Amino acid sequence: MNALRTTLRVPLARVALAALGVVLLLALFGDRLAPMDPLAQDPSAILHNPGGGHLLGTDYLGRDVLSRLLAGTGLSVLAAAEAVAVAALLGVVPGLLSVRFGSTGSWLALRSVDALMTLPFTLFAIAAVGLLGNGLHQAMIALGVLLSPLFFRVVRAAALGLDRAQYVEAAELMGASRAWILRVHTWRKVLPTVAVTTAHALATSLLTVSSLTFLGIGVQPPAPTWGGMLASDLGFLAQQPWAPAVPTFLIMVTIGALNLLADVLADADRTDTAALGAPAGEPAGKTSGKKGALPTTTAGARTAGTEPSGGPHPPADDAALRVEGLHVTVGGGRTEAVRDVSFTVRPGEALGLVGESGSGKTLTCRSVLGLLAPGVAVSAGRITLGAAAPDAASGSPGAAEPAGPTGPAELTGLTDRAWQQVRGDRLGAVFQDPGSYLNPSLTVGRQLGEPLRLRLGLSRDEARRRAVELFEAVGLRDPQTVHDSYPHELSGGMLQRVLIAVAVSGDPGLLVADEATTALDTVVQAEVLDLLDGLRKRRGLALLLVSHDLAVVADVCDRILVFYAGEIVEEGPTAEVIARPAHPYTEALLQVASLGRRHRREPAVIPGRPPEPGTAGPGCRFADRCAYATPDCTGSGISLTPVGGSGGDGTRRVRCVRAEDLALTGAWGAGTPEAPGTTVTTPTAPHHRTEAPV
Amino acid sequence: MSAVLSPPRARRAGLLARRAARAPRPLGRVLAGAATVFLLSSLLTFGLGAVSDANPAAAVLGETATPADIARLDHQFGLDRPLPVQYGSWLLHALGGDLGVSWFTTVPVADSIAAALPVDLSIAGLALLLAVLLGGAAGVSAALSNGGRLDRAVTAVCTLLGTLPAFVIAIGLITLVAVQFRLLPSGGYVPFSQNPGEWLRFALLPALALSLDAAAGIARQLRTSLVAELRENYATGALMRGLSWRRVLFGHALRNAAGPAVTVLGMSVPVLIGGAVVTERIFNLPGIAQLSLRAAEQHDVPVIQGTLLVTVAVVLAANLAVDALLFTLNPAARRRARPTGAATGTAAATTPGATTGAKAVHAAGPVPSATAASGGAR
Repeated sequence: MNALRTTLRVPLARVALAALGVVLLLALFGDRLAPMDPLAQDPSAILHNPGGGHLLGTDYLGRDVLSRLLAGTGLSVLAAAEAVAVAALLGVVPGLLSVRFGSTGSWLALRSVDALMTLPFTLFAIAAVGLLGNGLHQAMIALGVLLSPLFFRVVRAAALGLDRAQYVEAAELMGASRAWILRVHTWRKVLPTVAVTTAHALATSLLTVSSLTFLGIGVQPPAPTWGGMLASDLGFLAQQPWAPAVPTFLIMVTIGALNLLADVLADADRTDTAALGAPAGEPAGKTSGKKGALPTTTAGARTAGTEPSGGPHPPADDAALRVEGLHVTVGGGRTEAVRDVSFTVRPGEALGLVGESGSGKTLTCRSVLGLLAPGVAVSAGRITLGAAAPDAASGSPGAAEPAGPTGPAELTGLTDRAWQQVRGDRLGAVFQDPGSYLNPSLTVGRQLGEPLRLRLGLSRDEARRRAVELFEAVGLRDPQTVHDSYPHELSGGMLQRVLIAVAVSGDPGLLVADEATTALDTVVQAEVLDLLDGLRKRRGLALLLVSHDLAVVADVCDRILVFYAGEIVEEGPTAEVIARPAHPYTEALLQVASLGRRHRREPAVIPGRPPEPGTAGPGCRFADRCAYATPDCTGSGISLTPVGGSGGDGTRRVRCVRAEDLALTGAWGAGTPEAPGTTVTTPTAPHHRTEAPV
Repeated sequence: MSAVLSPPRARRAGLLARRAARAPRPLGRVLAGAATVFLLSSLLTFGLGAVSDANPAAAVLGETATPADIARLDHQFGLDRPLPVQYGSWLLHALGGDLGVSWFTTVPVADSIAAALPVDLSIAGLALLLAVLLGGAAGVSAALSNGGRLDRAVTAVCTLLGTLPAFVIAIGLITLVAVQFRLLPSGGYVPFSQNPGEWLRFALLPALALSLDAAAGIARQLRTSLVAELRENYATGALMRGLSWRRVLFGHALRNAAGPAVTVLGMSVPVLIGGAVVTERIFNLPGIAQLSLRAAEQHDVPVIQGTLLVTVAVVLAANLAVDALLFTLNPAARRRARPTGAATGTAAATTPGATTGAKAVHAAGPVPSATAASGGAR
């Protein structure tokens, strides 16, 4: 119902309705408006062009084209409407009732509908006319019968969907009668669908009527119809182009208007339905991809960029990944969502990126992978992939790539082709919801084997052997069976293992795990983390682990980067950050995290919400929510600075003016890493809008 | 509480169980469905003749037929038997290839159809090929340019084609190709078996005219589902495995996007055959539609019934072919425990809300049914 109202607000729909209104008026009163007798022949004015007494000229018998057009509209349009009325009558009521049929009844009804759908319109109409008498009514009833499946199917589908809807069940439980439900709920749902179908059926019917009248079926020649006019006048296209052009134009406008109306109606209906039942959140994997096709590789990235800031950077020529001064903009460059992010990951090291949704950690990781959605771009900074591990180089004989197969590779501004060499070979990735990252219609073994065969030139058998080895290496029991399974046949944990096997198949130097364990249950989560950790240690793989869950990151990573509102707010070795957080946000994250606290009852959240991207002031972005905030915190130029007493590699940095004078609380017992599987007691809710569900 | 909740839940469980129980193997179900549909269509076709007052005497002798003539000819054609007997014998003979004889000429209907059908099949086949090539190329390139100039051009042309009656397209093509540029003949026919080259010369224009509507439907459907598929995570996953864009598109996305387009293709088979009526008239082809037009004028019931029944058989055969194609396209569906008919063409066409059908319908965007998606008159 709403959809009908929404439709009226769309300007194009109004134009279409107006056009249809004009056609309807012509259909009803056209013969009275005709300036001349549509059948009167004038041998002295044959095939005259528009002008004089004939506004649209005359046809080959000297008849006035305008008069014939006006008189012919009624016959064509009303005939089409008759067929649609028959179709609606035959389709809607049985469609509604068919929901109540038993299984045999439904089956028979559906097969009858099929039977009607196998018959071609024109051929059946011709047969009907031949058998029942040559009249337009016979042809239109035949056409109506064949159009009725359109109505039957959509009405049945809508009614079926309604039958299973929860609010109908609720109404039933409250004691509403079936008849009442049918009247109130069904009509509301079915009416827009019926309106869309009516528009489409009218368009189809009108085309068929013009074809039939063109063939002289149902209407005998002297009587004017659109199709009939075309049949006689198209032959004289060269002498009098107006005579066939005008009815063609009228047909096109009418059908175009009907199609347009149907489109707008269907759109409005769909938006209506979506508004009712759309889930509030978006899956994490799609947060940045709202429109457009495949994410483009970081197109338009300015690699020159701003000078990387953030204090002294440790010399790390052996880095597996180095990100320097990364800025990412969204909304086509208008809003900055990631600001000045720099970090390095060394081979064999695990670096964790934590923060709430929208903190920029996922955008950072997608920049590294070159998977930014259209409208999202790296606006400044450099991302350098380190030299490939020595043992990996031998595995790719045929790989010729610009940066050389083993040398460091600059990832910003790579072409699609260059990305192809980097991904899979030197860079692997696993994501949340692993099943969705595999093609549902191919076996997982084939999908793993495909790049092996293409890149390493393996034969089918070799690829299979290699794939089975890999599946075994990631701890999949019965790898042979897994190899020949389709994604839907495997569990979430198995799929994540498959994806990990895919990611490490090219012996990459860096593995990016973006919320890779988020949707898994806690036991499987621990197993997958264990596997990632084991792979890292065995293969010397650098691991970039992105998660909203500090517990997950703390479990595996050597170092942690804490993101807040697009910036790094704290960086340091895991044990230190957890034991002695230097930024109030990290403290807040730790307090709500389950680390070391087993018997938490109420779900913990950090009060307040992060600033929207692009709205942050010059000062500390966390100040609004910070318990320790002072007037100093709103001043500008708070940078990421090293904190005193840094241990180990000296990469402990924090973005807080009060870092030195605050004594923040760390997590209990976090200094001694616990066994995997015991620390992870986080409720694994999928991404939350504003709060970290840690 | 649980007592209140149980009835709908129990009913739903029962429904699922029933559905699972009556879901046989796909192939068996498809064949059983097709057989039933054929039977129902034949009943409809026969019924149409039965309710008409046409009789051989009136058809042959016209107004001058006496009641005695009518009775004599009715008896001669077996029309004085009870209707169920007539239907049974007609159907049994039809299955054996005997469609009776024309009232008018007493030529066996099967012979007339056998002469006319190859014309339609060869031209419809060529049209189908052109529709797949044109529609496929247009759909893929529109999806690639997604929102770009090419995309908008393809959408505009498809929309325009959807508003034009088939005969306008045909005559437009004749005017342009045959009259203006004199590239191809404007009408006539040479059998393929006689001279394939000449056949192509005569068949190309009608096939093109016939194919444009179906091509537009395929292009629209393919574009929509391809764009949707490329947005799926698995496309990203394939890119991450180091596969090229081209390979992700043709090896992965296209395969999954093809299902709905193939369904549209299957649905355009009746459209192609229906469109042949007009095309045959315009291009002066001795096809099955000309046969039935002439029969309709002469009230020649056996010929009308015969042509309709053969048409139904052709359409059903095409549907089965589409089913088989969908089956090979989506091997995963073979092993999936499927609640209602999932990936098969007729199932998609018949079961509202069946997965593929629903997908095809939604992916087609504004169109509520894939039949409507293929636009014109079948």
